[in-house]
Amino acid sequence: MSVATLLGIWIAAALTFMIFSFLYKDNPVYKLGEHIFLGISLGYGWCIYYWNDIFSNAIAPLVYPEEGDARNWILIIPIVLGAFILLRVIPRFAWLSRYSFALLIAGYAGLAVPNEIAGRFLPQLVATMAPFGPTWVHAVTQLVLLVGVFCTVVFFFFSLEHRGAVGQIGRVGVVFIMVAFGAAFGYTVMARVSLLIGRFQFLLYDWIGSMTG
Amino acid sequence: MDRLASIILNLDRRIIYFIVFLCVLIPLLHPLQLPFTPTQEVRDAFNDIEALEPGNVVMISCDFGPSTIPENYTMLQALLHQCFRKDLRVIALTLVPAGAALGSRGLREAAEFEDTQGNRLYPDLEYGRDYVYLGYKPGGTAVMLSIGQSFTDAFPRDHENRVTSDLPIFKEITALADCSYIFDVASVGYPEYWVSYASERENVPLSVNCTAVSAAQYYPYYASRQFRGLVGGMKGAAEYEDLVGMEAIIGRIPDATKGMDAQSAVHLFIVLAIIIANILYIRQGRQEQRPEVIS
Repeated sequence: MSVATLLGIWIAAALTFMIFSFLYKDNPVYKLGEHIFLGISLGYGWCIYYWNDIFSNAIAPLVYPEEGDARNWILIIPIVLGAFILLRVIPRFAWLSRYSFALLIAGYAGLAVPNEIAGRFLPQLVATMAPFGPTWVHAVTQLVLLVGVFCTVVFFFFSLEHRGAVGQIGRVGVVFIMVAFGAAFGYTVMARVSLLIGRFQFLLYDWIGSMTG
Repeated sequence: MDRLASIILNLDRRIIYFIVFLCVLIPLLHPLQLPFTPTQEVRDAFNDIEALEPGNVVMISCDFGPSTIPENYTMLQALLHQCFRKDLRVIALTLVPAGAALGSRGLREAAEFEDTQGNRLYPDLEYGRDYVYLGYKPGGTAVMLSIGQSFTDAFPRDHENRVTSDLPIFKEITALADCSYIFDVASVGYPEYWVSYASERENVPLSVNCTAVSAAQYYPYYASRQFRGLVGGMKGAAEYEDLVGMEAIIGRIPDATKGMDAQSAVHLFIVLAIIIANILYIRQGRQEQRPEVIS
C-alpha cells in the first residue's frame, strides 16, 4: 500500500470519527469536519464544473480549438447569455437576465413537454389501465392499483368539498398515501443503515486493515 | 412496571445509537450469513443482461457519488463483472460531477481485476474496443438526448482526454440506439429521465440500481415495465452479487452481501423498538385518560 493511499485512509477515518462525534453532542470537532466537507465539496465541484463545462464547452473551442478546427465564434452568443444571468447581482442590469431565462425556460419546456408526455405520462396511464389478469393475483393487484390511484386523485381534487361520497373516497385515498409514506420511510431507514454499514466496513477493513496488514 | 416504561419512553437517544452501533459491529465481526433470496425485480435485471449476446453493448450511467458507495458501487462492480464475463462491451459515463472519479475507478477495478494468484480475470479486455469510460458531462437530459444522436459528438473526448472518434468501439456504435441495454446506477433522480429521454425515445430497454431511499418511488416504473429490472439499495446489490456469483469471482464475500447481516440486525432492533415504544405509549395514554378514583 502506497504512503499516499495510507494517508488518505487515515484522513478519511479521522473525518469519519469527527462527524460521528455529533451523535454524542454538537461539538467543535464535528463543526470542523462539517466545514472541511463543505469546503472540499465546493472546491471539487467547482473544478469539475470548470474543466468539464466552462473550459471544454466555452473557452477551449474559442481560444484553443482542436488542430484543423476553426474557432467556434457562435459560442459567443451563449457565453454572453450566460453572463447576463450573472448580472442579476447588479440591480441596474438585472433585467438582462430575463432574456437568458426566457430562452432557457422555452428551450427546456420544448424538450420536456413531448418527452415527458410520451415517455412517462402516457405509459404510466396505460399501465394503470392495464387489463385484469392473467392470473387472479395479477387481477387483484391491478384492482388495488386502480382503486388506489382513483382514491388518491380524488383526495387531491380540491374543486369539490370533501364531504359525503367524495370525502369517503378521499379518506380511502389517505390510507393509500399513508401506506406509500410508510414504504418510503421503511426504505429510507434501510438506506441510512446501509450507509452506516458502509462506514463501518471502511473502518474495519480499510482503516484497521491498514494497521494489521 | 411503570418505572420501566418511563425509563424506556425517555431513553437517551445516545443509548439507542450505541445499540445500533453494536447491531452493526457484531455481525460484521462475526458474520451469521443469514440466508436471503433474490427478488423478482432483481432477477429480471440480471436475466436481461444474461440474455444478451457476446459483443452486445451495455451503456452504464454511473450517476452516484461517494456518499452512496455501499449501495451503488458494490452493484456497479457486480454488473461490470457480469458484463465482462459474458463478453459484453461497456460504454460508461456519468451525469453527476461526484461520480466522475468513481465511475473510472469502478471500471478499471473490474476490467483489471486479478485473482488470488495475480492473474488478470479478463486478460483479453482492451480499453476503447471492449469498454470505454466517457466521464462526466453536465446537462443531464441534454446529454441523454445528445448521445441519442451521437456518442462522439456528445463526448468528443473521454475521461482521460482521448479523442473518442479514434476509439474502435465508436466505429460501430454511433448512438444510443446501437446499444442493447441501458443500466442506470443512480443515487439521484436521473432514472426517471433515462426513461423519457433515452429508453422510450430510442427503444432501448432500461434497468435501474437506485438507493433504497428512491426505490419506493420507482416501483410504478417497474410495474409498467419501463424499468425492466429494479435493484434497490444495498439489499438489491447483495441479491445481484448472489446471482452473479461474486463470491466465486473475487474470492471473498462481497461487500453488500457482507453487510446484510448487520442490516438485518439493525432492522430487527428498530422493529422491536417501534413495537415496544408503541405498546408503552398506548398504555401510558390509557392510564392518563383513566379518571382518578376519589376516595
